[in-house]
Amino acid sequence: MNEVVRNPLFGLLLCIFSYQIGLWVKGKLNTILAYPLLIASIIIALLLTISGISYEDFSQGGDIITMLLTPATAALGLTIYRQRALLRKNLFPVLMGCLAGAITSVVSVTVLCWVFGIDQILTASLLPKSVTTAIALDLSEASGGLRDVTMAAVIITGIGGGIINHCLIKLFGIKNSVAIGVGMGTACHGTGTAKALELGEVQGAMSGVAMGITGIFTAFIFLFL
Amino acid sequence: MRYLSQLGVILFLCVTAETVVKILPFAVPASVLAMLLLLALLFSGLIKLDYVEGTADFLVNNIAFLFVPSTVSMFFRLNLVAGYMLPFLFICIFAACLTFGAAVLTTAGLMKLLQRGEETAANE
Repeated sequence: MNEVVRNPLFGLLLCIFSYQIGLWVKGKLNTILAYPLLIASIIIALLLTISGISYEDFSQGGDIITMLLTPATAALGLTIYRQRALLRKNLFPVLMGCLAGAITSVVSVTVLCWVFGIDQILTASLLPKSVTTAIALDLSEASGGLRDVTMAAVIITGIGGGIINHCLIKLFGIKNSVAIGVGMGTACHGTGTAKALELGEVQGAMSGVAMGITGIFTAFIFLFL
Repeated sequence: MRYLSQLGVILFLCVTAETVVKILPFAVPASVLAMLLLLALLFSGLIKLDYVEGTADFLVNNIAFLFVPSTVSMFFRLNLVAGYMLPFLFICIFAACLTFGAAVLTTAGLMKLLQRGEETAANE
């Protein structure tokens, strides 16, 4: 049994199988809260905990999937290229939207951490949580935060923010596809972009642009902290 | 074969980006740089749409699935904030909503403002 679970294909298969269940549940329930990514991850986490299979064994295959995130993000270049006319027309609002989001993220985290009496190390770990992982980890370390805590914050922001923001779009009847994309990419980085792609190609393309620009803006804001 | 060569082009851009970010004096994710590289090459015409289209669409259409292992890892990291679990979750999600709101309102507001300006100029 140990040889089976240590085989990288096991982790790969588990992810595919669980994600298919997630898609099936989403199809059956047809609600925003049935998010296949979250359902699949909960299934795997429960399975690992109950069966006693170590996370390290699972990640042998999981890491192969994670590795594909780089080419998938690169491929977003094509999605953005297809929306080049729309982006060119709205470049200034998109840039300003990203800047407003980046400032709001840093300010709101600082204020909320102060309200909850969270210490300086944890605050530094939380501050870059809205940007894409690679930038967030570097910014966290540079400002005295903990990489593992930042990693968890980045993922919770992406998943939780993605679901809640999707609810907000429905609740307030937001129709502007460009603004929705910018909001998703600015607030919830790559995971938000995955969610935005579910809403449409314009939303996905703008989210991909916003994810990159917000990362750069946030890194710039950190120079003044 | 077409898909394989398309994957080759995308991976080449990723490896190039991974190499460049190691030289740069500031933090830029290789994935974002590879995305910008592809965009620049498409704009310049050095890469045609059919050099990447099928494989790129497959990767983008399944991007949410690729986040599954990272999300699983989150469940095993939550013990790091055991004493602050609720405020931690609240801050992550509430700040994401505020950030989303600020970005959406600014973008939509400016788009409307610019559109109104264009309409006024056209009427004059």
